[in-house]
Amino acid sequence: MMHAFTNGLPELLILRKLSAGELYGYQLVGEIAKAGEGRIKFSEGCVYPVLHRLESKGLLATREEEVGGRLRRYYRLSQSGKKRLAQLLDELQAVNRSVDLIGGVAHAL
Amino acid sequence: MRSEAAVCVDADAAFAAELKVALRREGLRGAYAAKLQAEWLGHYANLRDNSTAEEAIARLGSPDELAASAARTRFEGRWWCAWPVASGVSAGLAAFLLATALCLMPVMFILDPKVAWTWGLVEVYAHLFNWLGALAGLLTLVWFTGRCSSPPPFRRALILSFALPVLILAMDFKAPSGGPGTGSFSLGAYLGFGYDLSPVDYLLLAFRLAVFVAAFRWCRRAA
Repeated sequence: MMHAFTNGLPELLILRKLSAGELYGYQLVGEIAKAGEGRIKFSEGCVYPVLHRLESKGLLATREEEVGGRLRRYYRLSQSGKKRLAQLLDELQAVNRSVDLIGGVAHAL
Repeated sequence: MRSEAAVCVDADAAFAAELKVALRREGLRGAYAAKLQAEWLGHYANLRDNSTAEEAIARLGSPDELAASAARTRFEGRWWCAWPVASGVSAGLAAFLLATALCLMPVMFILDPKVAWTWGLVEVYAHLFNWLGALAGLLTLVWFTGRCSSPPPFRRALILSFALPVLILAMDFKAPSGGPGTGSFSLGAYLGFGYDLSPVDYLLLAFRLAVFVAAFRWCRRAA
């Protein structure tokens, strides 16, 4: 999973999860792990570089809050982030359709 | 006998220290590295609330893994990171040309190449810009690149390709044909083109070389 995670999937997972509302890093990792039901396994720390890259691209907005003496950085989707998520989901659907078509052709043969 | 709490504090401090070193080794510096480190340490602290240091590191990733993944995410897709040595040399030469335009060229135009060296105001100015200006340029470059993230081979190539020509030019301290900053005097003397160096000149050269060697040692430590 790690290889796939470093090749574009994290962006989709993060944007998809943040589309429901703002989360901080630790929370986000937990939510992704819970939603993936253990099928998605990765080093949790790998999420942060991706979050910062998305933030620098303007896809995510952030705010900081101190809770119990610890600084939390909350991430939420920006307008550009919402557009990017829609684009990624379209691309994923297109890939799924292609896979289905190829599967259908193989089955017919 | 040390308490369990002290051992935990040691393990947490060791993780933070290793993380800092790993980030620098991967070329991640400045505000970006500080932000990443703060978030990783926050995440680690959250994990440590309910687990041991080993379990927390197993879930979060080791410092080396974290730094490597951050470097990959940060540098991939950037054209100048794809060929770090070539782009580092190009950037170093560009910085050298800029420094030449700002420091060395004005000195060459100010001083008449045929005028013998005297310790007048103009010559002191030339000294400052030709030598200390170049040294200040080198230190500024190291300081500046020490605060920006870049692949380590890029930074090494950048500093070396700036420092070597500057070092050669900054060895000129008289105003023979070509004037200071052209490299003609020291190179000419070494190659036997008719320029003579007096013992005092050798002392000055040795002094400058010693200062540059000290600067290089500082640069290596800073890198």
